Amino acid sequence: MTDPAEDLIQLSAYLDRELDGAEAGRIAALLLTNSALAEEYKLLKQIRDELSCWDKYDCINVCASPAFEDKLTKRLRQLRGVESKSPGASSNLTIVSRN
Amino acid sequence: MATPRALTNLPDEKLMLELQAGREEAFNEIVTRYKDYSVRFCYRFVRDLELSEDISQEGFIRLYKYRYKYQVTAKFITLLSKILTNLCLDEFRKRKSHTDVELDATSEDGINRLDAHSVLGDNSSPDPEQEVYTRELGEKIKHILKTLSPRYRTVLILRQFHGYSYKEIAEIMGASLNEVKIWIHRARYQLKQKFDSQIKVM
Repeated sequence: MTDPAEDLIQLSAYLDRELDGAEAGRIAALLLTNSALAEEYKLLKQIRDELSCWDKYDCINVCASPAFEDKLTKRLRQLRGVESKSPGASSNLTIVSRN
Repeated sequence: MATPRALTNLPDEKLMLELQAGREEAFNEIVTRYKDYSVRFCYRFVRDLELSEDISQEGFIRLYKYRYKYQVTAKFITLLSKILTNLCLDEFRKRKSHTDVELDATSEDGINRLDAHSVLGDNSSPDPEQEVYTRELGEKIKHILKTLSPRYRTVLILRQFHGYSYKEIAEIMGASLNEVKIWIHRARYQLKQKFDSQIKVM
C-alpha cells in the first residue's frame, strides 16, 4: 500500500523523467489503473506544455544588447581600479565579441 | 582586443583557471560565451529585458570577484546559474518590499518578442487570434508565477524553462534532491490550482 501524497510527488518526478527504472515502472502501472492519478498527470502535462510554449515564444528575441559588453567593460575597469588601488591600471579588460 | 584563438578552444572551467592565473582575456571569452545565456536566464525570472541585463552584468562582476576562490568542483555553468539565481532571488525580495511593476511584454525594451514567426523562419503570416491568445495567456502566466513563493517559483523556472535536472537544481539552490522533488511537486500543485481558476486549459 503506497501513500497517495507520495504518489503525487512521484508523479511530478515521473513527468520530468527523474525516476529510476523500477519506480518509473510503478508509476506507469499506477497510471493505467488509477484514473484520478491519470487525470492529474494529464493536467500537469498540459500545464507544462502551455508554459513551455509561452516561454519559448516570450524569449524568442531575448539576448544581450549591443551595449552589454561596453557597460560591463566600464564596470570591470572600476572594479579593477579598486582592487589594485590604482585606477586605470588594468589592461586587457576590453570585452570584444567574436561575433 | 580580440580574444586570442587559443582561449576560444578551452572549456569553461579551464578559462576560469586561466583568469585565476591573471589572464584577463579569459574573462572576455567567458562573457562572449555566456552573455546571451545569462540575460535569457535572468529574463526568465524577471520578464524584463533591461532588468535582466542589469542583473546579468552584476552576475559577471560577482564571477570576476570570485575568481580567486574558484575551484573546479562543479560545472562552470552551474556556478554561473547559482550566482544569477541568487541575484534574481534578491530581486524578488526587493520587489516584494516595493510596489510591483507590471510589465508589458511588447513595450519598454523596444523589442517585439511576439514576432516569433520571422525569427523562426516561418514565412506565413502570424495568426492574429493566436497572437492575442498567446499575449493574454502570457499575462496570466506572469501573474500566476508572481503569486508563487520565491522558492517554488525558482524551482519551477529552473526545471520548466531552463530544463535543469533535479540534481543540478539541488546544486544551484543548495538543497537536497528530495527537497527539490517536493518543492517542484508543490509548485506544480499550486500552479495547477491557480490555472484551474484563471485559465481554461485547452
